[in-house]
Amino acid sequence: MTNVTAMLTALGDPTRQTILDRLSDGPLAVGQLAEVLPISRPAVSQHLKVLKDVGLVTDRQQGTRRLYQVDPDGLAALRAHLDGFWARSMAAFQQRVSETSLAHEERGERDERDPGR
Amino acid sequence: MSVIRAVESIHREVMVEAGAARAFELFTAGMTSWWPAAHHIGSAPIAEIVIEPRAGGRWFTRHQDGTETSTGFVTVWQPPGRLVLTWQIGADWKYHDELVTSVEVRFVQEAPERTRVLLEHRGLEAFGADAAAMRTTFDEPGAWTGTLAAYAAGVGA
Repeated sequence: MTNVTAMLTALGDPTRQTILDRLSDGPLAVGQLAEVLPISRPAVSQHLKVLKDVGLVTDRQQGTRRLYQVDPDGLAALRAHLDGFWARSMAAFQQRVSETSLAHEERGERDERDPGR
Repeated sequence: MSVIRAVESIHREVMVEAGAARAFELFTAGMTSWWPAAHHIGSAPIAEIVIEPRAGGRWFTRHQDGTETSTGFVTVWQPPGRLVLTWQIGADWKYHDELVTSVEVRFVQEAPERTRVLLEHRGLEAFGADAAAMRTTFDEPGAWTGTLAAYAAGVGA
């Protein structure tokens, strides 16, 4: 939970959202990001550090450059929260339908139940 | 334009024991009967969840203290096969006019009493712009935290 909280806090900054957006197209170096953003190279580095610390971005050395890319695991954690909610809600919906199906069954409308998955 | 393109849509699918028409009816008109009771953004427990049955209709919750909170709007109303709602609850656990994600639900009847219900929650990148405030949300027991803890304990992965 803490990780996700930190992630979301990091994403509250519009510049960091833009950086993540750029990186979602593929790995980039600090200099490449600085070229397309209205902020200095050190500022880009600082934002990347924040994104890296919370697990949204990873980096790797390639030759003389350090490339930054989106960390798919980090984003998966973010998304998992909403996914969990829907899993629970849809299971509840399925159960509710079953309950009303049982009522039908008792009235002799059906003689077999298959709760699905 | 997406802020976080890598956040793919959420897909959920369940098979329910009902024809599409009744499944659609229970999902919409009967939402109060199955929606997780703890999952609301109001100041009091849920009295009723309302989806107005038409494109442009509101999706909102009436609370036991008489207040109302909005979740979104109906963008597609095509019973018994398809429903699209907007989900405009932000990261700060409040309704926002400008924050629009979409929940599409399709009801595919496969037998007289058997319907596949497919849910897609998409446009999640919209949360990015609003995400700072979500800290508060996650820190409140009983909001997402409680819901997900219950889910993890009960429903499984």
